[in-house]
Amino acid sequence: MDIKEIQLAIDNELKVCREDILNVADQSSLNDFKGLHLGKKSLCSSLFSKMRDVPSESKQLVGKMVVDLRQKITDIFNAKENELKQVALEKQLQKDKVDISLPGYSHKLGSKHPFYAVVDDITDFFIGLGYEVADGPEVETDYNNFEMMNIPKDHPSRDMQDSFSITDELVLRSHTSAVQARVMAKCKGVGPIKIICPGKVYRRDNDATHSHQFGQIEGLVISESATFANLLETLTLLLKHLFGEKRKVRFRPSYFPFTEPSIEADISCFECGGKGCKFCKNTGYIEILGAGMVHPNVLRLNGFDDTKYQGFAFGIGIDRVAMLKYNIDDIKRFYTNDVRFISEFFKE
Amino acid sequence: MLFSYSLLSRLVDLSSFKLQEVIDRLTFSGFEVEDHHPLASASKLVIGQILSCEPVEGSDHLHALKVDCGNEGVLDIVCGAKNARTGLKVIVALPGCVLNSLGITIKKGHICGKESNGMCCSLVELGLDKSLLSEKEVSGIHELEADAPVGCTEVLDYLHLNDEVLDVNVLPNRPDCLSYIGLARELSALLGAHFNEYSRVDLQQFPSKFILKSHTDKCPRLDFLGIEKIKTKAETPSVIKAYLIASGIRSVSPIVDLGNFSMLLTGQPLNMYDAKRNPSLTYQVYDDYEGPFTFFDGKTVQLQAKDLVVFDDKKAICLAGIMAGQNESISDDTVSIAIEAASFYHANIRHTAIRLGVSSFSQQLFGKSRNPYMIDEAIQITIALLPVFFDEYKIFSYTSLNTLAHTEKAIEFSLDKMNHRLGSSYTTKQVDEVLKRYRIKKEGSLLYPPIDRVDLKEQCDIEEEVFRFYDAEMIKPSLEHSPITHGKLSDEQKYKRRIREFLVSEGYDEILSFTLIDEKMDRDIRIFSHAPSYRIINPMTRDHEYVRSDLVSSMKSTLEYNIVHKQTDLKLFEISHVDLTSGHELYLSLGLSGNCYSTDLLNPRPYNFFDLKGIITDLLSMLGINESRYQIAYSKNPAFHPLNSADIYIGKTLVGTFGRLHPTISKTPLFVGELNLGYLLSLKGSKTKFISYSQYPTVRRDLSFALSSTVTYQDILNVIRKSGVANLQDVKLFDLFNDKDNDITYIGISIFLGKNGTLKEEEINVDINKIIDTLKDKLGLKLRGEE
Repeated sequence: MDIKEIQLAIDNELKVCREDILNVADQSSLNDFKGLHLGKKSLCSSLFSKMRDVPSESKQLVGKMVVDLRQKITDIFNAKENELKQVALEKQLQKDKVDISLPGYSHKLGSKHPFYAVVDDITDFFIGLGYEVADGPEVETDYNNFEMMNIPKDHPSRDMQDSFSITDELVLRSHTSAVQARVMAKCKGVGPIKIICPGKVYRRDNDATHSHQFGQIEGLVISESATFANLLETLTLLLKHLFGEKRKVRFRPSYFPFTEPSIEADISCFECGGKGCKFCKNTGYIEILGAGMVHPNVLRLNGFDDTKYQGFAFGIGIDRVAMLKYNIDDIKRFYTNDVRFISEFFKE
Repeated sequence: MLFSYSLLSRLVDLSSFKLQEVIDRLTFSGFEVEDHHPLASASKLVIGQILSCEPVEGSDHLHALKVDCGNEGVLDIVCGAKNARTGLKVIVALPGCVLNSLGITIKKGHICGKESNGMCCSLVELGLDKSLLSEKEVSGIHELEADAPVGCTEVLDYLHLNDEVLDVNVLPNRPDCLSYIGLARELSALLGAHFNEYSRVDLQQFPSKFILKSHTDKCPRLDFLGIEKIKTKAETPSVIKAYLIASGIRSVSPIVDLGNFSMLLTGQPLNMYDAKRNPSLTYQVYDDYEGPFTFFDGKTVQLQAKDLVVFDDKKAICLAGIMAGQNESISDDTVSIAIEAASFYHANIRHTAIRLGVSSFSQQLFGKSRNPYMIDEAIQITIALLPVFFDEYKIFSYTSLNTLAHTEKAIEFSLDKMNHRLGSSYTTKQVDEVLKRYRIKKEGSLLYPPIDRVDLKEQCDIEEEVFRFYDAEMIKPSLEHSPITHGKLSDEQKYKRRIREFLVSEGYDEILSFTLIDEKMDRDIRIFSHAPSYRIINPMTRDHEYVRSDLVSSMKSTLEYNIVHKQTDLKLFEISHVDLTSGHELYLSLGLSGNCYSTDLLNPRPYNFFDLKGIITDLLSMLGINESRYQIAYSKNPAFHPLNSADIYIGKTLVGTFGRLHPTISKTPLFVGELNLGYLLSLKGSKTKFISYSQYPTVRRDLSFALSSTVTYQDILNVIRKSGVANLQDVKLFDLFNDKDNDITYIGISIFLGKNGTLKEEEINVDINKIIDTLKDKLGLKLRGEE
């Protein structure tokens, strides 16, 4: 064969290849294509085997032509093979398709009770200020609940209609102050004390807006130097923490048997921002907690030297905070435990 | 307490202050004004006189009036009041008049075809409280005095009703301010306004004719003022009536009104006896009378020891401080009275009133601690008021039985101490101003408060006076000098928080239930203690009578409440302290009902025993309590399903019970549990220490056995663990399959073997065969396919 004939055969082979590849649709026809055009009986192979018949001066040229041919056919083959792989992959992906709008296998989160969410929040706040948490029994001695808090026998708030009695000497605690008496007794007249006492308390309250069981967090700080100004700052920080930096905090003089001077703290109404509305009874402020400097008589009763020690105490209603914070309409919801109510607090 | 602003203004000069200023000053110095409103309100009123009164045709009660209204002319008014009559002077509301109490504006119009250009009013229509007016006032239009000026448009002023009522929250430390004079003194101090002193007479000028005895230390002082030859005024002056109404008290008769008005002014409760009915003039107080007593209204009660009772020379005549008896109280023909001003111990009065369910104005005052030193002032003021109510009278006696000696008590005061305690910087000048305003005498470092201020006892009380006198902002909030301490949760508190957060993340909702439960709940389910629970002796209802000894019954009723309210898939927990007669415990309760969705959304399965077991064993391992430390046995608790519940023991101590409630306790399958969390937290858990794991892979071999009903999984575990295979690393359950056709249960167990090196096939076979042989030998198990 002369070069011209070889050239013609190569051109023809390429043309056939390009036609044949169009008919390849799957792996098996691709394999047939490979056998026909790159296999032992293919033109390429026969041209290679005929190389020795080619005159030596043309060998280099023909060799290059054949190698070129082989490369071109291989390229055609590879392109097709890739194309088929791509199609197969596409098929596989289609098979794996999911409806991403279907719900996930969600592990439903539980919820803290809003009462305890508030307890946790306030507890963390006070731990940050160096306080510890004190617990105590709910069935308390009359002595701890009243006497040690400067509420002597015959005081109106000790009448039967106000607290639950078990015996002459035992009551269900009517405030968590009883825990303070226990802590002070444990400290045996030596300060400093910095505690909060969160817990359930009980009063014989018939009012529609009150529950016979509710929650209180009381705080007590006793040292040689704790001041009323410390109390005001502590409460300001607490109320802004609970209700937002924008709230204004104000203090009004008040009265409690265990503190003197005593105050009540109000925050500016979050419904109207202090202008006055139904929610705040047109006062612009909402009453939130009571506090004061520990009455020297409470210090004396609980074994502290009132000429050396001084301090402050405060009490905040857990249910009340939760109701204000979460816009809860009825205190009874806390104790009914409808899961539709509780599960609204899953973020807390 | 309700205060008339105009009466206060008569006692203390408030002319240079606006109402709101006075209210704010009170509120920000410890006397919160909870509400204030006008006593009466109406615009466009005029005094008129009825010139003619003709019945309206076609109506059984309407009259067509011609009313002379002075400058407003003669108006035609149709009126329905029975007491409308010619010549009567009336209050006329002119067209345009707004009557807030009725929510209407008067308009010209026609009634039954007759022109009507106004309305004749009663005091109710002007906004006065019905319950404080006489029946006559409520049923008809108001009848003005014959000398009322026709055409006068300042009608509320004329009626003394142009007043503001303040509802002041007087706190228990200031009983002195439960009176007009007390609050007026307070306002005088707060505002620097002039206090109008009343005139005083010498009480010693009156002969002492009463024979007074107190047979109890609960009545340390007893004063009597005798007045005879009384000719009362026809009616209590309208201005006093208006003050009484503003203060929430109904006007009755001049004598009764005298007593009530004096009480309002002074805060000292008075009781009046008809002196003629007790010629002995003997009045004695006992606290040990037991027997029946009949009140003036005819109601009879049984008295007992500690009730304070006033006797004449023979018999009980008054329940002291609360209510007078049938015969000795004053009546319409009383001309001679004995006025009692006493000091009765507040707790006795309160307890008696509560026990008998009676209430009166004087009892409400006596129920709070009164200042016995103010009795002199009360007598003085009563004497000063006599001419207001009586045209003629003669004071025939004044006797005082007084066992209280008043000694002036000094208060040691230091400004430095005060500033150290308050963190403030008050000056001597500022403090002196407060002392002066409050009539507190200062002698060096000693202070002497006035007799009316029993609440001022020590330095801190003076500090309070200074603090509340000035703006609260004078003390700058700061944490300076606050003690620096290490804030932290105790280990128990930390674990409690972790467990709660773990349960919440496991999908449990936290509940908060009542501590007080009913008898049935208390009795039906008990876990740890079977002793009687604390019982409330004064419960509000039987539903809340017992202090619960366990949490599970509350959990059960919470599950049931939700199920009734169509919330059926429930996963709940509660951690709470419980007070038992034997001590204070911390328990955890769990409750499951309905379906579990967390493993497969579309194929929920009902909760079962193993959901509870899983969470409980997780909790125990979280607390560092290894499986080897506790034992689980079928529960012996009668409230639980005997074959679907378990008790957990550590040693011989029961630490928890869980599982399905007994079908007789709950038909719906409820899975509940309770753990003694306090006890578990008190145990020493294993400490976390890293142990290096083997670098070589473990080998797993699965075995399947046919299971007989007497063999438990625990038996299999125990036998495998004791089989002496040194390379045994772990045993796990991988399958439990019931072949229903042949009624055989197959159990699949994975054996994990390993050592510090690669296990050869022969070694593995030796170990596995040993395990199979031991199981066959000890438990009679057969490999699947060999049976």
